[in-house]
Amino acid sequence: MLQTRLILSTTSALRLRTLPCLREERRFRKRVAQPLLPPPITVNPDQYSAVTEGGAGGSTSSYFPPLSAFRTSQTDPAKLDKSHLGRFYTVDNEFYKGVMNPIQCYPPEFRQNCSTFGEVCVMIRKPFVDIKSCIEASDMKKPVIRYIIYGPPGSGKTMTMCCLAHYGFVQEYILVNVPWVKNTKESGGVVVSTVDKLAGQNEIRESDLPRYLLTKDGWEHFDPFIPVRVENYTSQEVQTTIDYFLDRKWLQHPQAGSEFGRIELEYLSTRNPLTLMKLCNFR
Amino acid sequence: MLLRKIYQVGYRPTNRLFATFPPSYIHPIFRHADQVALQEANDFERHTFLPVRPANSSQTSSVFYDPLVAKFTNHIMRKGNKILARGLLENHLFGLVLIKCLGIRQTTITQNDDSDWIASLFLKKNWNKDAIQSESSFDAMVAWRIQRHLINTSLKKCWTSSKKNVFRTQTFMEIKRVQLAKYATNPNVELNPYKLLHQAVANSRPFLQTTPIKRGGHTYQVPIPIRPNASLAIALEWLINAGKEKDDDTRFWKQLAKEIIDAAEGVGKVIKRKQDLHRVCEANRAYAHYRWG
Repeated sequence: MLQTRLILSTTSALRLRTLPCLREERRFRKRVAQPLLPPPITVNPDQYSAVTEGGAGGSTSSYFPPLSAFRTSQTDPAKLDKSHLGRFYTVDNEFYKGVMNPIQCYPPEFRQNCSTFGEVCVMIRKPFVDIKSCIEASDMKKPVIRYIIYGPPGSGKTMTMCCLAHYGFVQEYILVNVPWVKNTKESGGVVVSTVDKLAGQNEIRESDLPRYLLTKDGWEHFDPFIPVRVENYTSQEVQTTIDYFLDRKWLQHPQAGSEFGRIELEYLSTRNPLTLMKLCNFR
Repeated sequence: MLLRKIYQVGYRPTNRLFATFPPSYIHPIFRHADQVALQEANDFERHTFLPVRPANSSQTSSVFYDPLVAKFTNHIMRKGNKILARGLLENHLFGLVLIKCLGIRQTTITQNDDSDWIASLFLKKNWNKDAIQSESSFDAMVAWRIQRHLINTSLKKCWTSSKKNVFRTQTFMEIKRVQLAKYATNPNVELNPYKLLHQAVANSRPFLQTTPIKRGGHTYQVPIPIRPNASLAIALEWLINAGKEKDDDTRFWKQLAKEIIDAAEGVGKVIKRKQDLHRVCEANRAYAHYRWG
């Protein structure tokens, strides 16, 4: 029922001890084969800053966002902020193949697509930016702040967690992947956890809220914590994802990029990221 | 009288005898493009008042609707399990998608994002029937009726099974993955799985077949031409059978994808089978006149 995926710790002694081993691994991973597809289009950040101000503000979105607006050239997760919301950023192979693949942190469908596309691209979404700014603003000498990510199935809880892991990796945190946080009273770190309705059990649960899924004991164990809800895509994010799939030649049906096709995909997926990905799989 | 005729030995019933609707009933024009074409031809007014047959359950106004894909799905289907058939060919999520569509309606009606409507549907708890009826909108009533219908029919099974089989992938997805891997070296490769399926079926349709006819104590394999519908059915069956000829550790959808790509390129088991049949017909051309008399 509960998936606690990582603790980000910043204890200085530990950092010194683990850094050399990371460097060694980095050297090893440079030998990994290069992607087969042509390199992604990089866009000048000045070009889409105007798009962001015009597009993200309004609630109603046009179904034809400008070309190349779906990708950002910024690859450092520490430098991503609100201006990058709703765009795809590229995760470097070093982190993906070296750190995340051995423990299979990314969802299986996503990993399958990554190997086909020849790149790892993740959308920057609000929960990630929110938690990141919270981590940056928090005092590491105080007891750890606990974040619990929740939301409907397939909405991107695990992807948010993976983005945070990438942020932690770049910032030279120690990434700890544990099934359950036993002691939450330590200091010098961050605890990020997800609660998932479908985790580990094959029965249908009524609610995806933390109070229901953690039950009373789990709630008291974690309390106090910051709940972060991951919503389904907005209309603009759905269109951005469709643009990305068209760019990767993944959407092959001639109608998929048309106005009616886009509306249909958005409606059928109910803007749920996982369902949208599955619908795009065979079109 | 009619029934006696149908069950008579050796009597082949035709569609005409089973037809529920008289020929004056037109087939439904359910695709947007067809309706636009009618309007442009100034024929729309005439069709407006004609009696229409009901559409099949698989016929939708979706822009992604493809008659050949619908036909192929029906040929793959065994024991009426269409969910599995669609899952093997394209999408195994349609039951889930249907429920989710209704779910979004519900949330827009009640403005309550936290109420998990899909779960309450199956747990038979927290049905806010009154909330829906008080809205008295058409959408809400439709949603409520379909909700009741879904509970009666066993879509619960569909939902749970689709959740478990997250890893199950589809033929079209596999075609795209295989072709995209080729695309890195050859940019001229065809990537569209719909086009590839059409091409594969067109390439594997036989034009002649043999039928046993007894003449003078001998049975001859006499070549006869095949009607278009029959040849389409044969091509689809051959593709499916080729997909079934596989190792135990290979999935059906994976083999089927391979066979479709092969047939579209004019190679593979199905094309060979068609050529073998044509070769037999060619060899037996001397018996062709036994077809008459």
